[in-house]
This record gives sequence, C-alpha cells and structure tokens, in this order.
Amino acid sequence: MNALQFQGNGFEYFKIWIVNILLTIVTLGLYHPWAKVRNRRYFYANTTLDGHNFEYHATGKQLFVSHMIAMALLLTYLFVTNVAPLWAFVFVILFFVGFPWVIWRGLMFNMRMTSFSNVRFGFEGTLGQAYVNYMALPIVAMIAVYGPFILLGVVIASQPENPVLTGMVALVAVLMAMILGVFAVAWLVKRNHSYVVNGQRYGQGAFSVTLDTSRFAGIYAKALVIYILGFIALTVLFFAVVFVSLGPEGLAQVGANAQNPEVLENALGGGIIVAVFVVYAGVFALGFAIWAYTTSRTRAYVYSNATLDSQITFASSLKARRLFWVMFTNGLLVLFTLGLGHPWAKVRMTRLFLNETHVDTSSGIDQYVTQKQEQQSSLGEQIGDAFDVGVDVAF
Amino acid sequence: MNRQMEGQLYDADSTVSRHAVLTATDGRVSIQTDEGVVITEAIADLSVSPRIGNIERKLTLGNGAVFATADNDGVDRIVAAAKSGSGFLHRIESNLGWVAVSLVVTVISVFAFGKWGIPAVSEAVANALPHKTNEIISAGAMDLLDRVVFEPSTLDTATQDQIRQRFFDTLVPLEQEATDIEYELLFRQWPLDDGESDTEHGIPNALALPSGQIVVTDQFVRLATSPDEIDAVLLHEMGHVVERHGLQMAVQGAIVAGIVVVVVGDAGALADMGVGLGSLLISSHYSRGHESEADRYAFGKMLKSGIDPRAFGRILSAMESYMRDIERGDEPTVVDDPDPNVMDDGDQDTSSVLDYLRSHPSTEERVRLAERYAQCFDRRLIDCS
Repeated sequence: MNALQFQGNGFEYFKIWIVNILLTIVTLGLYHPWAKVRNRRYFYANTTLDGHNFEYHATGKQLFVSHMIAMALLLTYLFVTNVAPLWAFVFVILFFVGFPWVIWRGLMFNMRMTSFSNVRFGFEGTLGQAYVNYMALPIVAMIAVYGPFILLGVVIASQPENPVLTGMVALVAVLMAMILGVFAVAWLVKRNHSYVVNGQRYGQGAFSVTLDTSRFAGIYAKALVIYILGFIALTVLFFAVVFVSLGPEGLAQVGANAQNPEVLENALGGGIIVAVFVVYAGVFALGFAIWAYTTSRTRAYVYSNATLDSQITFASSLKARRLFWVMFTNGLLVLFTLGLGHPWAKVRMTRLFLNETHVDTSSGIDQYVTQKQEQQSSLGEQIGDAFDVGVDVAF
Repeated sequence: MNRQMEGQLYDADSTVSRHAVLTATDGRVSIQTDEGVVITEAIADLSVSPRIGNIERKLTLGNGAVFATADNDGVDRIVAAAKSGSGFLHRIESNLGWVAVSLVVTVISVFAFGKWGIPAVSEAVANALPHKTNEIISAGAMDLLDRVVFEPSTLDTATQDQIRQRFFDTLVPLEQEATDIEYELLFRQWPLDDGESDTEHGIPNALALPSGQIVVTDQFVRLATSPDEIDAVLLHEMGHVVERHGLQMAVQGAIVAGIVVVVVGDAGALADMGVGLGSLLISSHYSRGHESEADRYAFGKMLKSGIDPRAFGRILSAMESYMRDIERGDEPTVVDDPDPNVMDDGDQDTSSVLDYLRSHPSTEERVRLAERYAQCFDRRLIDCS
C-alpha cells in the first residue's frame, strides 16, 4: 500500500492565492475561472503516487461561459429572494430540476479534465441515473421521513380529545422518523456513492464498488447518538454556566421572582450571554465532530470496497479525531488571521486527506499501467465548455 | 547554446514513461530516451504547461508525446528564449514585492468595498428601481405585523383624524420630488410584552414600510405633548420612504449574500459563523446611517415648514425615559428586527449592548443634531447643512 503524497506548501500556495485574488479584484471578477484553474492545477499537480502526479487540464476559457451563466443565475436568485421573495419558488423548481444535470455534467467534465501519469479519467454514469439518484430517490426518502409526522397529524386531527393516545402516537412518530431518517440517508448516500464510483474510468479501466446500506446506517445511527448526547451535554453546560456566573444569591433572587419574566430576564442577563456564547461554540464543535466522524467512516468504508479493474485496491486510514483536530485548529487559524491563513489551512487539510489515502497496486502502479497499455484510448476528446459550478469530486 | 534537462517521456495517452534527456539547441529540442530513441521538435511548436509554484512541467510534442520534468528553471530558460511574455503570472507570484502589493490591495479593497462600495451600489440600484418595487417588497408585511405584533388602536377617531389631516395637508406636500408615493397613515396599539392586554400602556414607536405605509402607535401619540412632535417623527418616517431605505437594505442583503457565496463558498461552517456575525455588525451600522439620513431629512423639512427641530429631541427623550421607566431591559425587537423591510423607530434601547450593535444612533447624538438644526431655526435659516 502506498499513500498519496502532497508536494506543495502553504507559503507557495499563499502567493498564488493572493495574486489570484488581486487579479480577480482588478478585473471585477472576470479572472475568476483562470484563478480556479491555477488553484486546481497547483493542488492536482502536487499530488503524487509512486512518483507520478495528477494534472488538471481545463482552461480558464472553458470555464468562463459557465461561470458567467452561474453568476447571472446567482445574482438573479439573490435579487429575487431579497426583493420579491414570493417569486423565489421559481428558482427552487429550477434548482430541483437542474441539479442532477449539473452534478452529471460536472462529474463528466472534471473527470475528463483530470489525468494521472498522462492518462485521463472519465465518467460514464448516465444522465437518467443522475435523475434517479439526485431527484427521484431524495423524494422517496423525504416521504419516508415525513410520513410518520403526517400520520401523527391525522391522529391528532381525528382524536382531539385523547391526550394519551396522541402522546403515544407522537412518541412512536418521532422514533419512526429517526429510524426511517437514518435508513433513508444511509440508502441515499449508498446510492450516490455507487453511482459516482461505478461511473468512473481511468483510461480503459473501470472503477467499481459494492456497498451495503446497513453499514452506512450504522455510521449515521452512531452520528445521531453523538448528536443527541452532545445536545444533552450542551444543555447541562448551559445551566452550569448560568449557575456559576449567577452564584447562589443570584439564583435565590431568580427563584423568588420566578413569576416575573422581566426580573428573571434582568437577573439572568449576564449569565445568559456567557452561556449563549459557550453553547454557540459548542454547537459548532458538535457540528465539526459529527462531520469528522461521518466523513472519516464513510470514506474508510467506500475506499476499502472500491477497486480499479479488480486489480488495484484502495484504503483510507483517516481518523475522525485527527480530522476534527485539523479542522478545529484550521478554523482558529483562519479566524485569527481574518481569512489570510486560508492557504495554509487548505494545504494542511489536503495533506491530511492525501496522506491517509492508500493505493495498493500489488505489483506497483508501473506494472499495472504497462499491462493496460495495449488497451489505452484517448478519453481526452473535446466535450465543449464545462458547466462546472463547484460540484467537486475529491479523490 | 546547449541546455540539457532530465525528465520522463510519455507516449501519447500512455501511462508508461521512460527516463529521457532533453537537449535544446538553436530553437529546437531533441529528446533522447535511455533506449536511444530520439525525437526532435522546434521549441515554437511545443505546448508548454504554465508554471505554477514548482509543479511538474509538461512539454507536449506535436505527436501527443509528453516530456515531463521537475526542472522548472531549465524549462523557463529555453521557453523564454523562444517565446516572450510567457510565465508572467509565475513571475508575479514569486516576487515578494508583488505579493505584498496584492496583499495590501486586497485588504484595502475588501475594507473599502464593505464600507463604501456596498452602500453606494445598493443606493444606486435602489434608486434606479421603479417605486412599484417598494410596493412588492412591502406586500404582506402589514398583515404580518397586524397578526404578530399589533392590536387595533384604542385612540378616538377625532384624534386620529386630526393627525391624519395634518399629515396629508401640511407634511406630504413638503416633498416635491418623490411624488409617486401613496402614503397611508395607520394607528395601532403595540402592547408591552408582558402578556397583559393593557391599553393604557404600550410601546411608543413609529415605523414606515417602503411602500409608504406609516404606522404610529397609541403610546407614541399619548406621549407627544404637541402636534409638532408628531410631525417631526412623521417627517422622519417620510425620510425613510423617500430615501428608499427599505429597498436599499433588501438590495444590500442580496449583495452581501452574493459575496458570501462567491468568496467564502468553500471555507465551510466556520466562515458562516464569522460572516453571520460580520454581516450583523455591518447591517446595523448601515441602518444607523439610514436613521441619521432620515433625521436630517426631517430636520430639513421642519426648517422649511417652520417647525422647531427641538420637538424631535423632546419626543425622542420622552420615549426613551418612558421605556426606561417601564424597565424593559433588553428589547429584542431593536436589534433583531424580524422583518428587515420595516424600519423601526423610537429609541427604546436602554440596554448595555455594545454600542455598535444598536440599529439607532444614541438618543443623545440625535438630540444634539436636533439642537444644531434648532439654532438654524432660531436664526430663520432654511438650509442648515
């Protein structure tokens, strides 16, 4: 097993990044597609495996038209939602209908514009499957999650006088929604990963993966438990901070005036502000933690099951704690440098992800590519301009 | 002139590479692999990938074969000799002076755009839109306020009619430029937030919707000791409508949201937190600018129509001390206005929240401005800017 390596460094990227921003400002945003290409090329070409590197081949010109269309749509959308919110639904529909196409097109374009060791990647998933995976199935999943609540509504409406029954049905509905929610998300994620991975090509070689919904469900069920425990911990923390900052006297005063909301509010003022800040930070940490947990686990699972032509296998050794720590410290770095630390943060995160990604070629990548040499054909044909609106597929 | 560099030669569309040496002589390169194969090509016909940092360079030959090398400086030298103007971006990126310039320009632009650019652009866009837009953004807002905040007024009809008549007969005609606004004056009771329906008390306030609907609360009317005080506040509200502050806030919201999406799109959750806080600070700062603008509008019109600007200071102080007496503590409606299209007035802010977070200039500041205009009034001046 060989890990991917990253050869770039933060300061080098900082220089590229800041000049990109300068040129984007000076050209009033028109330079943005070229800036994007430069950024991507820096990260792709600095990623190596066994001495061979990746390359990103798109040009700023190819991205320019789609960039302009995307900007025009975004501006119209923002203008409409702020000035005539009642018309925003048009965009919601447009987004809903267009989203699968954008994903499909973005995958196809970006894969074809990526090469490793002089041979391009490709994507052969169909548009129809994109619509199944990104439009039809999410609707089914949504019905599964909201179904119990609709049932609850019906019961409450038909039995308004029966609080015991309503309470029980409510409990069952919440539990059912949680279980169905976990399975619906797991199923969706499984389908999406299968679609993306199974559609990918490397030269003539095909990637394939066989995934199991229950494994994803296990990951999301644990994430839900972490979330609930975290929420309870934050609630306890909130009251602990209020208690400590008020002291016994303040608490007695509040107790005596519990009927008077204004006194209560005034007395709690200071303590609540501190507690709200603590909880605010806690909610972010919890969000980071859950993201780190689900990302590292799904990645490990998907990579361990993916193969290229049944000859090359993959593995991810990314650990949730390490990911959380890097994300958390990166966040502080970006916050305290007012955003200027972003290039270092990005390089650090990229290095973490790459170094924890392993490729087993059993007899070396050179051996594999030599065998495949006879069958190579060019996948780098022109596919016109991209509609690349930031749907990235990270390796 | 002979230059040599080592690298890997890939056949077209093949992953297999062989170690090779490239030699540049007289505008041509010849690439020789260890097996002894030699390819030659004119430098002008090579397609050379642009240099970014120290990433591997790829020289693509006419037949699709690729020579890849880590010798960036070597490639730059042979390419520079044959093609001028290449590598411009890399030269900027590797020059610390230019990097420093970029840093300074970026920081200044971001700051200047936030401070002056966004308000200026929003104002220009808001002024370019037809008045109809104001009606669109206000649609439904009054119904919402009636449902959520207000109760019917308990003032007697005679008082209401008297105020309304003064408003339409003397105040509205003062505005001679923006004449397409159809004003509407509404009276409402805004109950104190203590759960009791007490019609003797309430929140003293006045607010304007961008469409020209102006609401005054019962408590405000009760606190006013003279018609001049009511006129002063109504003129202030007209100022918001005429200057299109509601529309400006809406456009501004769109711009800020757009920038957030485009600039920090990939920075993740943390950026959201920072940006959320930042845009709260910025928007409350902007709305303070709007309050001052509406104040100045009102003072200007008051001088023209012979109303003493001190009336405005008096009613503001009266509202503030009333609210202080009520011991409101933090009044959330001041900072977290649930409807951004509604301009909230009357300073109830007696809390110790950071000064910058307040959507209104402090009452003292406003009274001081009123005093300055009052001195012009005493000297019978019509222009006091």
